[in-house]
Amino acid sequence: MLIRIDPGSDAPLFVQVAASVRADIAAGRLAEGDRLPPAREVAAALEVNLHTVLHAYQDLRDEGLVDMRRGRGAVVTAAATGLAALYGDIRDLARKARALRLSPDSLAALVKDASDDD
Amino acid sequence: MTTEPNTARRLLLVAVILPAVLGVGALVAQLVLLPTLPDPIAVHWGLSGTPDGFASPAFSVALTALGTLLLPGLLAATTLPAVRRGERGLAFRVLGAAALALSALFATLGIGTLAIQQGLTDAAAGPSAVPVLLAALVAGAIAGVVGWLVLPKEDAAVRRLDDVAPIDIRPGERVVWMRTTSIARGAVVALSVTLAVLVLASIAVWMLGDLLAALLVTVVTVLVLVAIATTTAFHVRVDADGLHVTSVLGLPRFHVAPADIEHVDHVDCRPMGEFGGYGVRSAPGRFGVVLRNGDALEVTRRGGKRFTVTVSDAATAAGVLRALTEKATA
Repeated sequence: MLIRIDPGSDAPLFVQVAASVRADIAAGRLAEGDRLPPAREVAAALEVNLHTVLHAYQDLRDEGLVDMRRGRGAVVTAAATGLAALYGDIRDLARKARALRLSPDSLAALVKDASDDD
Repeated sequence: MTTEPNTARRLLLVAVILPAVLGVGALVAQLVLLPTLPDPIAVHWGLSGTPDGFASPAFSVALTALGTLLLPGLLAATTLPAVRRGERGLAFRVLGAAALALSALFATLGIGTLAIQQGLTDAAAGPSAVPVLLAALVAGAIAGVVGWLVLPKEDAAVRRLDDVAPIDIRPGERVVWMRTTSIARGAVVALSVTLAVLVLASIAVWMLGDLLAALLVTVVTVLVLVAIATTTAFHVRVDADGLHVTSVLGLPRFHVAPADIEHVDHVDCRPMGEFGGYGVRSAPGRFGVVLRNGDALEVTRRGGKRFTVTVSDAATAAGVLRALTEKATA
């Protein structure tokens, strides 16, 4: 599991940790049934507060990507397969946007608009 | 003409065909001697050479079959499939030669211990088996050397994979890669069965009442349990402090600091040929936490020694470790 955080960035740390896990799932590096490392270890490795990591794990649980089980920790759910498939579409979208000379930030804004529309 | 089929064919000869010939030959010789033997026969001799353990001749036949056929068979089963797949390494040469040596040793032992009791009416009055033991050891040694010489000298190939994903680390960013690695499912079954057998044996010996034996078996069982628990699953972490490989139980733990890292690779590891087995292993110039075949992260330290850990997504781990090492030593 690859986690990257930038303490200097505007985004809250727990959002960045969740985004890292989501990116790993999307890229297929984490699959259904894989266990996320214990929050305690992730927090120690990143040198952040334990609750930051727990908050990230809880958000992922609320999204349905992860199941929190007693004794087993956070386990990736079947929804991961859907996200990984979606990532294929996302890559295609990015490629098309690049061909149109649309910047990644502009594309992201358009995607957000489209998501807010419904 | 490739040499690969040659190695597999030679291993088949040394570890399967020759031991089978020796085994069948010894069993036939034993069966021929059977009518001339007393019942029971001597199956154990004291240090002075006098017989002090007796059993049915069937015991000796079974032991001979075990040593000439079953044990070499197990050694062949753990080496021949791998060599047929193209794996190479010192371990295969050693195990192949050992299979032949064992077979020769037990064949000589089996024939010899019966031959010296030919025509006896009372096994207790029989001669010393020490000359037979010496002959068996010599036969084993000679067979081992022959097997060794017949098998080719081939080092394990280094299978470096050039698919390491480069990681871009922005200033101020903290990057960590974490994964848990453990032994293959088949190995879990094998180890569980072993442990179950040991536990049952412990219980049995405690019930038989010999305190010393019971303590010994229990100590062995506990040691095996600790060894299994501490070396079959590890947490692998790559961060600014380098590579950390820590047993899920806390110990043992291994660490390579960025300053000590000369090279990082993603490799396809075959522990049998490269390390002689699975687990926490040592080989000339190398050390590894190699729990299964396949994807592995390999670090070459300053001075040339290599540390290998088998773990999934090793390509990403290698990319992260390379980037962090460059950053730390920049």
